[in-house]
Amino acid sequence: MEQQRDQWATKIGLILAMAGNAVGLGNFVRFPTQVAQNGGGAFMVPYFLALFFLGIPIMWVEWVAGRYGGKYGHGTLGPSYYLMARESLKPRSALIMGIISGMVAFAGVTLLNSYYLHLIGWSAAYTWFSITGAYFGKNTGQFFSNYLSNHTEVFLFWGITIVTIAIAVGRGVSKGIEKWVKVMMPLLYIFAIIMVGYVFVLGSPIDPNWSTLDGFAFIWTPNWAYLKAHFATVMLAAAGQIFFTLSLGMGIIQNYASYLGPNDDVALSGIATVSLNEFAEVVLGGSLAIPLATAYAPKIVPPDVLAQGKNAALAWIGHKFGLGFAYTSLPNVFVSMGQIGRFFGALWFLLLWFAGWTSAIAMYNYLVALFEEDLGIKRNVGTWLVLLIYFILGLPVIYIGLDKYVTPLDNWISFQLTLLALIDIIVAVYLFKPDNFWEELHKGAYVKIPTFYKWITLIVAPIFLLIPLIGTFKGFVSGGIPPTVGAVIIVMFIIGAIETYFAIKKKYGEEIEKNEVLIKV
Amino acid sequence: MGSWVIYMLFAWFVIFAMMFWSIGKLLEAEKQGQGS
Repeated sequence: MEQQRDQWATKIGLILAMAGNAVGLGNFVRFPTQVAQNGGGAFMVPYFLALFFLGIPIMWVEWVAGRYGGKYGHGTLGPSYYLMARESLKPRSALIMGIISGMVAFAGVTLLNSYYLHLIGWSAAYTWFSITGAYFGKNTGQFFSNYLSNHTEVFLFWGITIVTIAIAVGRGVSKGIEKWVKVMMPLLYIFAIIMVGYVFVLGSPIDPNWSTLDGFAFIWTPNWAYLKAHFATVMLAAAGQIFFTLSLGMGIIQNYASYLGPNDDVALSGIATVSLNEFAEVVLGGSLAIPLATAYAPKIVPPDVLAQGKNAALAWIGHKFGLGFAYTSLPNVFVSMGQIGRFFGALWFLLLWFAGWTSAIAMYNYLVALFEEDLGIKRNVGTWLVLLIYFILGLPVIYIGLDKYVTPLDNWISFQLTLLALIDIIVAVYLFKPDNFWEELHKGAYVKIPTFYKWITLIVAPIFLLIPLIGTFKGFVSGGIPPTVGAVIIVMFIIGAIETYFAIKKKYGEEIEKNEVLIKV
Repeated sequence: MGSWVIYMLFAWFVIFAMMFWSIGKLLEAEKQGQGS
């Protein structure tokens, strides 16, 4: 029952598409926020462990699962994981695993986008604020808070963002967008490299005791005491960031990989996409917002917090402004350039907006494809349906705000991405059978993966995932999530479960009814 | 400057090495038309 679907013309084309998709606000906005909120060097230790023991193997698992599902005409998680689980389970039990996988993936993409689209909107706003010089000569922290409390402005820039995305998806202009991506993404890389150079030589722009180099020291000095005191939380934050930045744990990678040919390489391609993204995140993203926040902290942070030292000051910015961290620190560098900074600021935030916008298109396309492929809903109807979902989910971000809505939801997203990564291993490795997985991974592979990585995937990764999941679960259920956020999460889980149930039943209804495999793969 | 410089440069080196190795190998394989 193998099915012919569109496929990528070249591997490099696919890698560039995935790298373009991966580079964005996760690198330049979320990464520095997580570092600041989780003790700087304390975060980097589990971050790198998560990269090698989770990021790389889970990337392989999701590529294998996606390519396998694509072979049978599935680009979404529910039906693909139903098929994989069926290797070890009876159809009805496999259906449960399929529903759990599809439900978590659906809730992940929709919940993540509810605030991710706002971050893109903030970038659009800051493009405008740079052109007009609105934040020049002001306390950039206070300016950001004032912006968020101006609901009309936030609504406007977010509205422009989601409507333009819907139009682009609805008209299927992805080919036209790809041409822009080829120009804009290299430009973002080059601009970021120049900015990193500038940040290194900027030194102490306002106070000799607060230098950009202190920011680098905050990131790169291991903080064992903090890690010990907040072990499970920092582990979850690190794992969650790896998954967020690599677009893992949400079904997106499986969807991309479903367009691969059955014997296309996934082993080397997986490493290539991970390393391209890590360059953007650690080398570029890690060298901008935090060093700048350190150098300009005396302008943003209250004197009593400043007196407690640099770690406390950065933690204060991280907790006070949450995902706004980069928006409070980066504008200062453009201010320091004088009037020409307006141009560079506008260019930077426009590139950031575009990077986020293209990533959001990929996720939007995934949801539209999900409705189209799984439920037979026409593309134009699906486009408006997704817009409606995004619109409803995005409203609490404006009207409830950063502290009470976005930050707890973002923390939950780390949990949920980690949870789906565990489900990935349970279904696409264990139930699919480890030998099948290893064989699939090496089909058409350009490199031979060392066998110890099989054991990392089978043993180390699940333990690594379980530690923060168990360690933080109690905190989430005992008041860590405000009731509104909890209600939204539950609703999205229910919708995801129903959607996945019908998606699987549509094609495999008969065999589920009889509880025996009728459609052989 | 403290030991953080060494940690940072080491991490950067690992990422650069991974990036150049994987992309280089991918381009090489693409050129030879292997795998597919």
